[in-house]
Amino acid sequence: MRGGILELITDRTQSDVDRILEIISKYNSGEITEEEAAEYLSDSKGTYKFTDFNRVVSALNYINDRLRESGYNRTIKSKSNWKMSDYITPEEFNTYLSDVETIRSTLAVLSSTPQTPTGNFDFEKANDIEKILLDVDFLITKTMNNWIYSGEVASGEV
Amino acid sequence: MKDFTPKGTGDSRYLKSAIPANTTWEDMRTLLRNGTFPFDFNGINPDGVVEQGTALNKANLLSDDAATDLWFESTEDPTPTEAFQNIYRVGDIKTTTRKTLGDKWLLCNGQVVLSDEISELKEVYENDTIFIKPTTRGGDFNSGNTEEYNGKKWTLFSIEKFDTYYVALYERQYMYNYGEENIMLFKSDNLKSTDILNDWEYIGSFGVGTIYRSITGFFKFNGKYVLTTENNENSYINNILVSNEANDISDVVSFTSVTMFRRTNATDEFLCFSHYVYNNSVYFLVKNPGYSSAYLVKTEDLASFAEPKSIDTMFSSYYNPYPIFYNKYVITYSYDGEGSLRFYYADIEAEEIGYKYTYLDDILGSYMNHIKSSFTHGGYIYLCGFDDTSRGIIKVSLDSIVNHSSNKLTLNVDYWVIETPENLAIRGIFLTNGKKYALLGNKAAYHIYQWTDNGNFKYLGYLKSTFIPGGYQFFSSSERGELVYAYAFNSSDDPYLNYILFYGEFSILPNITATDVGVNTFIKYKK
Repeated sequence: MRGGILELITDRTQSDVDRILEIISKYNSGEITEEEAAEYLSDSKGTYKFTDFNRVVSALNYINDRLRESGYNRTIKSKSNWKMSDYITPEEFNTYLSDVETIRSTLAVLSSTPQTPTGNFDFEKANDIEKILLDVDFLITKTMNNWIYSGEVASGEV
Repeated sequence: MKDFTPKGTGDSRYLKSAIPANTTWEDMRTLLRNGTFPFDFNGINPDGVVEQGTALNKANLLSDDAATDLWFESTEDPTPTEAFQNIYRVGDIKTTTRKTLGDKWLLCNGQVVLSDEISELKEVYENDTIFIKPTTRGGDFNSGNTEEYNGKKWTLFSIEKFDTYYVALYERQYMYNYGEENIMLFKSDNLKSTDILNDWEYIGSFGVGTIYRSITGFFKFNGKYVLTTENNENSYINNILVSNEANDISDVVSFTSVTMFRRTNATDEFLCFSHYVYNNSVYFLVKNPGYSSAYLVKTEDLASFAEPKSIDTMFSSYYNPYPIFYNKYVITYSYDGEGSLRFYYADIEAEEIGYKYTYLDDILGSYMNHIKSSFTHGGYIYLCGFDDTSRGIIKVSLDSIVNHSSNKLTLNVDYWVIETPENLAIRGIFLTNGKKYALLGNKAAYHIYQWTDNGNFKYLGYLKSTFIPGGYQFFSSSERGELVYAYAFNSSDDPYLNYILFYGEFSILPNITATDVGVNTFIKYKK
């Protein structure tokens, strides 16, 4: 499932991963079909590719812009123009996670909002990253809905 | 900013409530009357407003960018109130025609203030000052400025810090009879005023017998206050003056003469000129400058004294600097006339003391034979010297002096040369409040520099004093925390002039002269 305008994915499963592992095994044994190769190269939820990085960083920038409109000054450092031929370095991946934490730590979050991932990366942590962004985006909207406007109330009234 | 203006049609704002779908009107009414009806504001209905207005939110009240513009750190998260308070920060200066800006601002007229009173300002603006008060310490009894009090003439000997207060000790000028009051004490909790006789608390005046050539020491030991003096050459007795048991200087009612030892030769002239409190004992340093002998006399109770122990000729000369005490050693230094700077040291706990020496001779420049000033700090002794051709500061390890395997000190192992700026003939160095300072000058004025071991010299300004030192030389300073004793003398006819410097307790505010009448400049000194 891709969440809203941000097209974020939060429902990857072990079976998605298992399917990709099966395709890789067939590739190694020379038994892969064209359909399976196309499935591997698509935005399969069992993989984490340059398209995922671009999508998440795009969401990070979108949410950061909304935060800026709300008065917050944060900086997203990750690049958002990954290509198939790129290889992400450990430093770049740490920057990627650091940007997620920057967004997560700007507002108070829900008790159900996952922690920013650390350590080994898997499908559950990939889900967590995008759940964090969905939650923050949601909370920005709710915060905006609760704004009081000049002239509505007197000092100390609300 | 724009105010929110509804159309008045009752639909300007949405509310969202979590009340269950089956909630009755009566239930709602009960919740409302009880003040427990739950809802969220859920945004503005644009069709219900004429003007939505400016939101009272972070972006409009105090955004991160605005906070940064007001010099807040990104971690501070200030409120609008804090932002208003920060429009002017501590250290900012404002010029106005107003006569006052409230109690957080001080007029920039070069006034001197107590540093404690501007502690926040001192974090951003350092401009300490020194006050000078002439004393008789270490010099001629009749030197120093005379002040009149209760119809008698007095000169300040010393100011010492005891526990949490300061005591000023005055000695009576000549022309008094034996037994008359010749010592006077004042007390203060701080060094704010140099007008001791008027602003400090008068403790009392005491008759302590004849004082020949001045008092040499004033300290507290085992609940009693002690004075040491240079001895009367016509007496066989070398004595100290001990007060009654006193918790505080205010409890002192008298001083009693206590004999340290009796001399055997009427021509001896013993000067008790220093003391050292070490391992629950006091060691008095007594020397006979005319006959090349010096002794250490130990006491544990100020009543009984051990036999004087000779330290031979270690302090025989009038011109030896004051001793340095380091752990169980007494140390002094002098140039040997052959290119070496010698450090003489003696173990004060040894059965037979004697003395030894270490030396250094790898100094470029002849200035080390004209050592002008020294102090100890952090296990080192710092010395400065200058002559017509060279100048410099030397830092020597005290451990190396007293524990060296050979007696020759090695450059950059046991001692270091601190580079001084060219053309700075430093006449004196001293340490106070943990910082090192250098004094340059002549008859007209003295300049103060702050310096560090890596050779950074920062000019601070003129010595703040109305008293013009008469000296070309500034030598033998010793550190007493906020108080520094400095000695200067004119090489021609003037007698020794000795000074006590108050330093670090005071700050000078900027002095910004208004170009127009009625215009004032203020500095913000607290949040």
